[in-house]
Amino acid sequence: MHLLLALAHADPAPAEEVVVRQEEPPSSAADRTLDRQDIVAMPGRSADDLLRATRGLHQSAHSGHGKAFQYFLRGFDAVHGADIAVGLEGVPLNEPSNVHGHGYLDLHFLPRDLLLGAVFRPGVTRAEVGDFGVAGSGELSLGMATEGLQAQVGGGTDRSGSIAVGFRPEGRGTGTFGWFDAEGGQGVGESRQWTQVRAAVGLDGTVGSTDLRAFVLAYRGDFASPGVLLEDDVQSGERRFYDAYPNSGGGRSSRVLGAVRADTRFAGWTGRATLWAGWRGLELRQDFTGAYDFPDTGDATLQTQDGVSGGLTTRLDRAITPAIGVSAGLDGRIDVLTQREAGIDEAGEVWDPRIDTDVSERTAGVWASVPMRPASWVGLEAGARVQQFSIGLDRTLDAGLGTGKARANAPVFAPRGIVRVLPDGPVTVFVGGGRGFRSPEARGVEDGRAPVSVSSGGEVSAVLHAVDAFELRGGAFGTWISNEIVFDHASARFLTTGSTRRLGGYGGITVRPVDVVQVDLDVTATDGRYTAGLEPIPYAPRVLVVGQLTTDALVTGPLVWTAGIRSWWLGQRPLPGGFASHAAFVTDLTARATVRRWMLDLDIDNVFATRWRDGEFFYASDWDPTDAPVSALPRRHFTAGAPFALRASIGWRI
Amino acid sequence: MTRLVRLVPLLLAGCSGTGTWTVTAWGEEYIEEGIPAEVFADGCSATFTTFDVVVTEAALVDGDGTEAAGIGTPVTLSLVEPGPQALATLEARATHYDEARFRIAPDGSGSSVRVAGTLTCGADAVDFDWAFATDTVYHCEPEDLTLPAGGSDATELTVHGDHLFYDGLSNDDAEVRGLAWIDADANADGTLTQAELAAVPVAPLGYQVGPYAEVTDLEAFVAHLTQSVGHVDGEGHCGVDL
Amino acid sequence: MVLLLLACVDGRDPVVLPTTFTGSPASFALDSGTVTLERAELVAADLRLEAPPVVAWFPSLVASARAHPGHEFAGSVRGELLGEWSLDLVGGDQVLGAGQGWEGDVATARFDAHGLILVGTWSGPDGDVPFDIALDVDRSIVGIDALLTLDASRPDGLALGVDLPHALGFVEWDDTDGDGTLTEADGTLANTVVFGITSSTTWALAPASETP
Repeated sequence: MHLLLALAHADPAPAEEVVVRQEEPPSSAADRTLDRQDIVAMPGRSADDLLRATRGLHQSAHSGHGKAFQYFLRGFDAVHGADIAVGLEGVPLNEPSNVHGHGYLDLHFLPRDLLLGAVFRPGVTRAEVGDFGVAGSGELSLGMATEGLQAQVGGGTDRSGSIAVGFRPEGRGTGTFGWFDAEGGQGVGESRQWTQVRAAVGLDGTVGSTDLRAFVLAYRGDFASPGVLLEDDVQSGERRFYDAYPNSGGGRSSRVLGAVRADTRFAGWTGRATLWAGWRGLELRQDFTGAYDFPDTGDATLQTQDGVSGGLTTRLDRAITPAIGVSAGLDGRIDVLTQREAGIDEAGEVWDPRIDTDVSERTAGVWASVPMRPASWVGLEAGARVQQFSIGLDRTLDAGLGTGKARANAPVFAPRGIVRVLPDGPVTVFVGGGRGFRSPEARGVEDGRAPVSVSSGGEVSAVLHAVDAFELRGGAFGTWISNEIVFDHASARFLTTGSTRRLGGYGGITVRPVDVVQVDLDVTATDGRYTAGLEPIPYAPRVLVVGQLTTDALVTGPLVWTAGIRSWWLGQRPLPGGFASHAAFVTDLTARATVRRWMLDLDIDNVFATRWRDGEFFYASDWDPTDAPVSALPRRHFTAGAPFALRASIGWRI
Repeated sequence: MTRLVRLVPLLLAGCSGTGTWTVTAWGEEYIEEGIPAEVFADGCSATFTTFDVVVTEAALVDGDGTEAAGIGTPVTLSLVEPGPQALATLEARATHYDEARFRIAPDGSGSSVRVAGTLTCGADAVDFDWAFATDTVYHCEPEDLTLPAGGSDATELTVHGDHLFYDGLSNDDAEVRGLAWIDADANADGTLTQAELAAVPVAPLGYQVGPYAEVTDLEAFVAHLTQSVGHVDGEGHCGVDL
Repeated sequence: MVLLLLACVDGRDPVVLPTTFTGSPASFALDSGTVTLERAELVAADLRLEAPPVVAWFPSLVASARAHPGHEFAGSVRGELLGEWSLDLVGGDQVLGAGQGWEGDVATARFDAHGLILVGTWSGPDGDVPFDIALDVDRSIVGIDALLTLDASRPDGLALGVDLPHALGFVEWDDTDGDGTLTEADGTLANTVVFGITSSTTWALAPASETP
């Protein structure tokens, strides 16, 4: 089902193999598939940045380099991943009931150089998408593109340095590799230092008609976080744009993830099973309000989580007749977590323990989909997923909820379907729809009660791709949630914020004026509102425009260039309380020049050195260490967007 | 296979079925047995022989403010009877709710809250038997109210009898006191009438009314306190429309 | 559509709130007599304007009082003037300073009340009795009527006023200790003065342009 093609370039350098999956047909005009070359040409420093390739997705870093981003997609504020389901080779990466946020999606543990491909699908119309598939989903593939030994060393104006060593034996598939990389830096401004160390090994091979592969990824990251700054303090000159308040926070993130996968064929079926297990450690320190709530100790909190997870993902596919097929899967996972939260003082000592909870979550899902091609001009996929959640917790301490044990089960049923009109024609029209869902967050579960968030969405879109050099796409989508359920950490309870609807549209164009140059422009506009009062959904972007120019193996003399420059413009966003954010325009650049066995990489964050505000928030805070009266007026706080930074590295391949 | 067939409607119901909401009301030990002296800042104690509330509305409200289920006719509850009283059993869409709305208001009989009993402070005691026609909507936030499809969840309207004796309407340092009531028995006949209460200005008592400046006599003060007795599931707080 | 979506996000602009305080007449009649004040001062601090108690984007949070003392749900703070002032309750216009706020509706105001001094003469049916009252009120005065709209395009100030006849209308002027001077130690005088001075209707906050 997955084919591996080696595309030899005309240059004498060792070829990067490009994995081209025998792609499943797209679900809508917004789907996006990236291969290794696309990933190389996509600006950004980490695997997380790659998610920006999702059409309509904006992500925000409101803490240090090492904490999960905050994601926004199609009118959803997915917080740290609550509404976007992302997997790696069949392993679900979102962390249910993470102490910092449900569905916490932290890709820092993935070496970006080991990402071979990605598929990002806004909207949820495919039966296989599981928990957290509400606004969209993505799947990443892992492997080392080049054979031989590869070593890289670099540094940057952000006072950073990095080394990486990778090895893939001659003649072995992309799944066999050994990898180590380490990076660290001070960053631009205050309280932005970080270190990250990653190691990975992979093995692949074939036994009879079964392809086997296994991999283990290990990661440790330590980071400081600049937190927020008061706009007034920056305007008055009290603080500089990239400053930080004392004790602004930081964290430590560790993860080990291993998986074994088998792909096999028998009696006309193709089957895949992925068995995975992992350990996760997370420690986050943060203070976004200074000493507003606790003048004597400060408001800083410490969150820790320690957990093991494991699961199985399986799927079977078969063509029953040339016009009808069947796909089905069974998956499940178990998570056993211990999480704590406490107030800490300036020395980092715990003074107010608030949460100490053991969580055990079990979930199992089964899905089936029937792809049909009743006529040459139309293709259908009708499917559904059924999922059962079973969540148990033992609260040793929970300031909001008391102590004791609780267990609850919650089922959910999610029908989904896609119609493709003229799937092979110059214009393809997609009509899709279905239910998405998000599991209940464990901490709010009461005995026998666990609310599942369920969304219903639909989309109509079309792609015009009459010639290879030109593609025009566009569509309209809507998502309705009859009862939006959020877990409010402040009050430690589930809240319903009423029914919401998100209506939007998108349009895009791709032009390849010459073979090695591609220009993409995408616009996504979403109007998300609470249906009762038509108040806009706070934080969610309303207009996002993204333009990207990439070159793919452009040859100039002895140099072979793969490069990308990407700009995005984010319109003002509504904030709670009737406030609004600033618009932002940011441009990033990446370039890789290859000369024989040498590689020169250049990355520039924020090419035009604009001082942009990544996250903006209105609330009362107290950062003044004096005894001056404390303002209760909501004031604008912001997290500074990535500053200008240039990083270069040189690599060598044998 | 049979199991699977049974499971399918259950799972379907998981998104669109109905569940049962069971509503009860309870006056706890304070109303059933009395309020002991240690609760009072001035050493008084109280017992109730009558504590009736007229619930004209008990509704389950979704996040849009739409009523998902509610009682059709008013129910008068005698809270001195032991144990939680059944108020209603209602069917509603299976989902999560975070507001249970109760209205305690006069029905045909003219009163919404009727209390009778005895307040004792040392050697002094007064009997009281009062009726109030206050109209209060309680917007209560049960800790986690989820009706599962085919299942049920319960909410208790908990009535706090000690609130009638608070010495403040909005200050968080309000205390339970009784001596002012004893002193209000102007004719010292051992029975404190509402007319006697109405003759007592609040200002000299050191009681605080906060933003409720229209409350100037003790009868109005107690009437206002009858609008603070509603809670949910024990100590869960409710917002009120006065 | 894109322009329409952007047009919907207008946010709130900051407003500056020059604030003055105006006292009451120094002499006024009550039902049972006349009060003549020689000195009337209240130490007040931190004036805050509160929006109507509606959390519009979060409709599940109930926007009203709580059924429990101490759990009043006021709206979010829409404006404030921090500081401490000695308000001359019988003086003319007194500039308190320039507060800060955000555009939008205001429903109520609050401030903290501390030391209160009232010196003057009570002229009742039994003749004139001097009073000299010093109290530490030490309470927040909440729920002050302040129905106004802050608009950055129409800058305006705030005028805080006091209605002393209302505040002192609750007082029982009994010289219970018979020392010839009414003080906070006399009968219920302390309670009734505090009750009146903390009564929300003793105070009013209005746009400066609408205050004569």
